[in-house]
Amino acid sequence: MSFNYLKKGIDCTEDEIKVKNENKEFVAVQVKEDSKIKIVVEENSNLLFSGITRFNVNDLFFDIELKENSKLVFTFNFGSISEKSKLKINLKSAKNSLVIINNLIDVKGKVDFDLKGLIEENCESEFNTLLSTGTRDVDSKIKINIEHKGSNSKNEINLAGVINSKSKCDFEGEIYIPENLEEVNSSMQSKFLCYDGAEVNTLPVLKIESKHVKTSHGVSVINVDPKQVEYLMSRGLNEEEANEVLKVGSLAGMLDKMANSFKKAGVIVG
Amino acid sequence: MNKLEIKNLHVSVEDMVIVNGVSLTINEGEIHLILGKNGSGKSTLAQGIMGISNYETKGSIKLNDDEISEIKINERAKKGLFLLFQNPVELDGVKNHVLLRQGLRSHGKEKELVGFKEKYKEVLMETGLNETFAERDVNVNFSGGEKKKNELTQLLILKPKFALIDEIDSGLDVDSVKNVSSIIEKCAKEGTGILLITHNPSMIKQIQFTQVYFMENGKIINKGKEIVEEFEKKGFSVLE
Repeated sequence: MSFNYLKKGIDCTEDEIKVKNENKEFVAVQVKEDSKIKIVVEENSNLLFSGITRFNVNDLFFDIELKENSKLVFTFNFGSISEKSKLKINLKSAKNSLVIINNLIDVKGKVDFDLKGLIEENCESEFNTLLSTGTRDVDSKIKINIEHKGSNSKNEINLAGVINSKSKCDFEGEIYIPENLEEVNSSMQSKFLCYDGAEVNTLPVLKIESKHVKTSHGVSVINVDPKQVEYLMSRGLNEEEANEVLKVGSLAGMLDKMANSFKKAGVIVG
Repeated sequence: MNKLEIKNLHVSVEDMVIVNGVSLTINEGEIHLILGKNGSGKSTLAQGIMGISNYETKGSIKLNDDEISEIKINERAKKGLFLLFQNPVELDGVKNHVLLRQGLRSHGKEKELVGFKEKYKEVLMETGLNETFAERDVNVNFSGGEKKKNELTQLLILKPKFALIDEIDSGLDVDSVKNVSSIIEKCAKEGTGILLITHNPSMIKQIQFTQVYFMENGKIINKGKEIVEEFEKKGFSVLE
C-alpha cells in the first residue's frame, strides 16, 4: 500500500479508499511513495480526506469519483524536496454532490499540478490551491480545467500564491460551459504576491456556449510594496518578519476559505 | 531619564536639502510642538529622525546617549522610537491585532501578550474605534480619521519612549481632537516624550507644551512657549 493511514475507519483495498452508504468518515493518510490512488464516495456518503506526502513522493495521481448525494472535502499538503514533482487530480462528480478540494503546494524545483473536474447537475464544487515558494527556487505549472456537465451547477476556482524572487508560476485555468446547460454559476480567481524578480504568467479561459450562466474571473498580481515592509519595520519588525507577515496576510483569505470548507460542506464526523 | 537629542540634523531627499540643521532635545514625559507652514520641513524632520528610507541624514540623533542615526528603522523602533504616520499605508490581509502582537514580540514584550485581547479592546475604545477594528486589515478601507486613531492605538499598545506624531488631527472631528489631545497628555504623564506636529489651534489650546518651535525653510527660526498665544491670534503672520 502506498500510503499509511494516520486514522482509519473504513474499508479499503490497496491504493483505493471507498466510503460506503450513509457513512460519515474521516481519513487521514500519509502518502509514502509515487502512486495512483482512487477515492470513491458512494451514494449518500460523506468523506473528509486529509493527506500529506513524504518528501520522496514525486508523482502522485488521485482519481476521485463521487456518487449521487455525496460530499467530499479533500485537503492535501503536497510537499516535496525533489527537483521535479507532479500532482494530478481527476474528479468526476455526480448529481447533487458537493466537493471541495484544497491543495497546499509546498515544493522546490519543477512542479506540475494538473486538476481536471467534471461538474454534474446540481453539483457544487470549490477548488482552492495555495502555492508557497518559501525561499526555494520553484518553477511551477498549474493547470485547472473544469467542465460543467449539468445545469444548476456551481463552481469556484481560487488560487493564491507567494512567489519569491527566484521563482516562477504559470497558471492556466479553464472553465467550459456547453450550450445546453442552464443556471450555471462558475468563477475563477487568482491572486499572487510577488517579490522582485518573480515571474507569473496567467491564462484564464472561459469557454461559454450557454446563454444562461453567470461567470467571472479575476487575476491579481501584486508586487511586495517596500513602503509596507518599512511600515512594519517602523513597528519593530525586522525585514524578514515584515515580509513573513505580508506573505501570511496575502494568503490569509485562502487559508480562511480552506478552514471553512468543513463548515461549508456540513461534513460532521461523528 | 530618557532623552532624545537631535543635533544639527540635515535631511535630504534626492539631493534636495529639506531640513537644514535642526537641533532640539526632548526629555522623558515632555511634549514639544513644531509649527510651520506646509513645506517647511516638519514631516521630513520626523521621518528623518525615524530613519525612513529615501531620506538621507547628516548630523546626530541620540536616544539615551546612543547614536542611532546610522541604524535601521526597526532598530530605532526597538530602542523606543515611534512615528505616527501622516499617511499610513494599507496592509491588505494583515489584521490589526496580528501587527500589534508581532510588534510586541519584536520589542521583546512577550509578557504583554498575556491579556492582550482585553487590553487592546480597552485601547480601541479609548481612541474611539470599535472593537471590531482588531480583526480588520490594517488601514484598509479606513477613513482618514480612523487611520489616525489606528496609529494612536499602536502607540498606546507599544508604549515607546518617544513618539513623533505627525498631524494626527487631520480627518478628526472636534470631539475626537479633544480625545486625542487628552490621550497625548496621558502618554506624556506616563513617560513618553512627544514631538507633535500640528496646525490645529484647538489641539494646541488643549495641550500643555514643554517647548514650541517654528520651522521655516527647514530651520527652526523661533522657539518658546509664549509663541503659541501669538500664533493663535495671528497665525503664520506672527513669523513676519
